[in-house]
Amino acid sequence: MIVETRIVGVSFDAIRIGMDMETVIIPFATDASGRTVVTYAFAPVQKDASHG
Amino acid sequence: MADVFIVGIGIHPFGRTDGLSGLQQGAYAARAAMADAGVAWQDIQFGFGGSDASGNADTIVNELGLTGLPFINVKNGCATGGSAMIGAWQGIASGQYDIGIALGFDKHPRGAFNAMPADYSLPNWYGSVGLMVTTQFFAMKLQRYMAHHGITSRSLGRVSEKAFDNAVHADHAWRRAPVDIDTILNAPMINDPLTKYMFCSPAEGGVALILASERKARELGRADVRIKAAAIRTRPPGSFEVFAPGLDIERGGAPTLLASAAAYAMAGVGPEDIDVAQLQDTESGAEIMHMAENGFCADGAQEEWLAEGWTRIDGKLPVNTDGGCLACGEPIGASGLRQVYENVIQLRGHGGGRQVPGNPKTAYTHVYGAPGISGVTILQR
Repeated sequence: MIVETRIVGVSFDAIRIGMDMETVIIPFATDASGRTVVTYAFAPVQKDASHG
Repeated sequence: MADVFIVGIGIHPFGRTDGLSGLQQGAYAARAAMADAGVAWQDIQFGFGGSDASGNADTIVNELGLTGLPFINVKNGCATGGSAMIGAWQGIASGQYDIGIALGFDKHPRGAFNAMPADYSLPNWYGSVGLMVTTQFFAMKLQRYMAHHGITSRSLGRVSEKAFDNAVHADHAWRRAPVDIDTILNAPMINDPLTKYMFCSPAEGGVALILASERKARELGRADVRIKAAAIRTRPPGSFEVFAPGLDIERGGAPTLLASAAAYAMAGVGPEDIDVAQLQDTESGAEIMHMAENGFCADGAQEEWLAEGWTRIDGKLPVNTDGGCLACGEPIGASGLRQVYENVIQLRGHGGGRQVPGNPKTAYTHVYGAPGISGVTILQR
């Protein structure tokens, strides 16, 4: 299944079809009780991450 | 089933009409269609009609007269008009009635459609995070298609340029001034790769068709344009649709492929027999994708088709001869019937400056919309 969602952490001009992305959780809104609501999004894979 | 003829057509110009409700624009179209057919409201035995955002079509009796006729309301998204026509067609083809009306109208506020997630079985968060914005979906679907099939931005520009060129000659169109391709390509980007001249806008308007049996059509002296096929289909597995939170990795069919195949089979003709086509152009890329999905060319061949002008009025398959949704805007309930109206104009040879040369005999319409539906009609003179 291909899932659609927001793309974050990349400039508009740098987006390319086929680039490596990973799922991230980002803050999206604040609910009536002041709690942060999060959503899933896609961001470019971080090459300098611990597994890399 | 018996043959059914379109004996009268009427339209209220698309665009913005302050002071007239959607229903009143529908009534205007109905009166024009009855005048065209040479009949009165009292002669109409039944009706099917609908709007997406302008209320119940059966309240048309308040405008046209309390004759007690049966009138069935249709609410079927972008296929509302086509569904109304199918209802009226079947009522006559079955032998139950001799003459009836198919009606569609709408009046949408300015700005993009504001669809509610719950109406499409989606949770509210899906809308809150921004995924219900249709322009975004259409741009994303198009990006994928362009990457797979080598379609360029210039081709998107050519589709819009053609739409505005054609609409100059269509009285019912909304945007009736030519726009050159550089202006189209350099206009503000709405959703990459689509600029503001590449999207249709929600609009207002109304269209009515009077349908009749062969006996009645001959009596009226209007047995010239007959309905050869009308089909509506929902989405198959593996399709890529507006308001779908995800899609299968393995691509499948599309609702247009199903509706198109059903209509060709019903009419006993193929894409090579079509002389003029009205294809859903919600945005200019949609027209390009739908050229292939309706069987007129291979995926990717649209580059050559558009560069050579083969879908212009004097080309081998003129597409969207009145400027389509791009130039007429989209009043949802009326949009599919506008395409049929335009084809009747073309088959009668009444297109004036936008008339397709060579006495076209077979004409095709196609709509596509949320949440993955398509409707196709084929008319023949």
